[in-house]
Amino acid sequence: MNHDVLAAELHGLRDRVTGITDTLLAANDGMLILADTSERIDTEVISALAAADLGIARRTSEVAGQGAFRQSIVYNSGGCMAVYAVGALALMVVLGDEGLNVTRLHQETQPAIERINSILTAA
Amino acid sequence: MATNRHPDKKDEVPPAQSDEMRVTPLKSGTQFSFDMLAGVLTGRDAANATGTFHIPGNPGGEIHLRNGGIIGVESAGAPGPDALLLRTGRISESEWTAALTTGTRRGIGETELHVVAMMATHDAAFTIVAGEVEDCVFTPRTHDVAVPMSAPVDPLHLLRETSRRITSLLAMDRPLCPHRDRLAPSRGAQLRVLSPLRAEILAHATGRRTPRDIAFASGRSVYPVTVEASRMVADGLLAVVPGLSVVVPASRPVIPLQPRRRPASADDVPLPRSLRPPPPPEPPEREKP
Repeated sequence: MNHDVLAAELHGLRDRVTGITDTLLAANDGMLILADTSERIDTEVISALAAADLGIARRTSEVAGQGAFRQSIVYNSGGCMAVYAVGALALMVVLGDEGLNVTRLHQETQPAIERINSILTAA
Repeated sequence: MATNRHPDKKDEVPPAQSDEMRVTPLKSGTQFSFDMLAGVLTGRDAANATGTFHIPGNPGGEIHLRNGGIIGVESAGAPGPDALLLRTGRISESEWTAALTTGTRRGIGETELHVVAMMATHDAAFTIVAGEVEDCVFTPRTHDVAVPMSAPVDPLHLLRETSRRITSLLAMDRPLCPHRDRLAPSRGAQLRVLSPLRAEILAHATGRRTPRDIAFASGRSVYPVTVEASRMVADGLLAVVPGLSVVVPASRPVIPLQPRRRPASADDVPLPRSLRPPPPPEPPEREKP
């Protein structure tokens, strides 16, 4: 697996979308793959929470019968945390501040996720 | 609360020491962004219009009009009135929620709210123009503005003020790009005695944050933070981080896409008794009385 290329994808995303503060990639089970985060973020805990979040969200999509799961977002007064499925094996977490434009985030994230997925599955 | 300071000639910093610092040239695109904004705000669509200009870009934003007057500008690049008021502790979360849901505004007067909304509007217009503008689409529907200004602003006034800010920033020795240049303290910067604004900027400059991020973190407007940070770069207090640093907690090897293995110290957090695994079974050979 090429960590440099993955890191470049995360950096590029943070550069293109104003308001992203941290990003990380983890496997579906919550094992951290790569983190582009500030020191105050506990990457292990965020990975584990995101994995749990993704599991519940995927199940919810199934039970609600609304098609394929796309993303789950937690909105807070000081920002938000988005969890995206990366293929069937991994997930991506994006943390943003209260200025983050979520519509733009989704636009920019989709192509990045496809590229990240091809890197992860090629490994 | 932040104040917008115009950079005076007299407190302009001396020419910076030469070092190979990378500063994103602000000029590229800025003129285009401003022309585009000026074009749409003085164009036919805006005349006496009620609706919203959507400006996709980085950071991009939205300009809300009522009867041709601007009642608010929002951008991902600038803190809105809520962020300015909440982050500075001017009002509490519960007061803000009450203000949004019931319209009651305890703890803050109409005039103060208008002033904060106007600050946020000018700041958002500045960041839209300082960034990249991809397009501009007008929708005649009115969108909800959380805190509209009580008196609309003339588009020409907003353009004049935005132009003044961009020109002032570009006239500096080391103009920073508000949403691109990531700042870190220079060596020894913490030892200097600094003004409160400078000390706050320095404290928030982690190497990952841009002037825009520092403004959000400190609940200040982006323009004064960008101007002061530009001066601090010229003064050698801050440095622009070349490229993005980061990555993995390198101390531990990362094992991707494998099932989670039980760590050695799995009992760090005691589980409730009902969830604890049963104690290891007694050896079966043991005779019972």
